[in-house]
Order: sequence, then structure tokens, then C-alpha cells
Amino acid sequence: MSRAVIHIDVVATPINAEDVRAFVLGDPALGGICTFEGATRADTDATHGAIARLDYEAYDGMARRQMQRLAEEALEQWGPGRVAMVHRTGAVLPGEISVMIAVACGHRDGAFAACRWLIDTLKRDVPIWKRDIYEDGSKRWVDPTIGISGSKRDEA
Amino acid sequence: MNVQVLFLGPARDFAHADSASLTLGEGATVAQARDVLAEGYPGLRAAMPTIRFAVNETFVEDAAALTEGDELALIPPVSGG
Repeated sequence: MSRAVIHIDVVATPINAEDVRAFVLGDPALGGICTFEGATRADTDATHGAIARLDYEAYDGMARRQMQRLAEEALEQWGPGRVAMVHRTGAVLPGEISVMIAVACGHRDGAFAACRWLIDTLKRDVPIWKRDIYEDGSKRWVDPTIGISGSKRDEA
Repeated sequence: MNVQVLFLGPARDFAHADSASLTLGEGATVAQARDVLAEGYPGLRAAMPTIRFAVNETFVEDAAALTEGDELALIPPVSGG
């Protein structure tokens, strides 16, 4: 049985959480399983109204390469273990899952820490961008350096 | 030498282009490419300080040297997840 498993994917279809989680299960030496799912939030803009959907696009080859590298770094620090990271591209409706990370480590400390580090680092270093598409048809790229109020954004 | 430039995410809107072919002198660096692009694509100038560059799908520092056939990607602040 493999002691280090990494599954990376960029998909244009809905993410099946059980399938992603299954990639990190099955090694009886790994007692801590941690998953994170990022759901798209639908803010309302004063001028353009409600968000109809979000469009995600990836620099595909590099996004995969970066996620692979992040998974390897996480296992170097918190391994042995298993990591699955899947990001969705294309149109995503509010409330749907755009990214999922699953981690299995020996114990919960590593699993929690690795999972947190992976989503934090993905949001900084993986070349994927999202655009808000409003019900009035207007589009706006999300600027991660600015919060809704105009101040530096606090990450969820 | 020629490098293939990709304008990604919001950079596409700033540059009003998806891609470009850039001709630079031998041994040109990413920093020089940055300057040439800011010169040729005025819409990029305001955002340029926040744009990272990748060569052949790997982030690079401005001092990195470019070679013939490299794929140079402009990576504005990312917003995945």
C-alpha cells in the first residue's frame, strides 16, 4: 500500500466530494482525515445586482504543476500522508463547490495544519482567477487584494 | 530571440489581447520583458507592479534570463479557491 498518494485535478464539472475524499482514505497508518471545501459566495453589488454565477479560469498546466508542488511540500512537512486537491473551472453557481482539498496524515495535528496550509497557499500561488458575472450581464474580475469594503481583505 | 507571451486572467482585459510574440535581444531578462510589455500595452501599466511572471509554467524573479521559445505568462494576483 502506498504511503504517499497525491491526486491533483482541474475539472470543468461539479466536484464530487466523496470521490475526492476517497483518494486519501484506505491507509490504516493515517488516522487524521481533514477536508476543506470552498463554496462560491454570492455577494450583491449596489449597481449591478446579484451575482448570477462565477467564471473560473486556470492556466491549466501551471495550475496542476503548482498544486502538485504544494502537495509534495505539505507531505514533506506533515507526512507521511495523502493529499487530494481538485479545482473547478468554468461556470460555477453561487453555493457550489469550486475547490476541495482532502488530507490524510498520521494524526490530526498534521492533517489540520496541512489542509489549512494547502488552501492558504493555493489562494496565493495557483494560477486560477475568478470573475463575478452579474444578473445584468456585467462582469468583474475578483481582485484578491481588496475587500468588499475597500480595505485589505480578510480571508474566510 | 522570440518568446511567446500569455496574458492571463485580468491581464487579458488590461492588454486587450490573449497573447503576443515578443522579440527581445539575446540574454534579455524578465525585467526587460516587463518594461517592453508596459511600453507596448499601456493598459497593463497600472497593474504591472502586482503582476508576477512565469516562464514555462514556473514563477521566476525579474532577474531571470529568457531563451528562445520560452512561454512567458503574466500572472496577475490570483483568485482561485
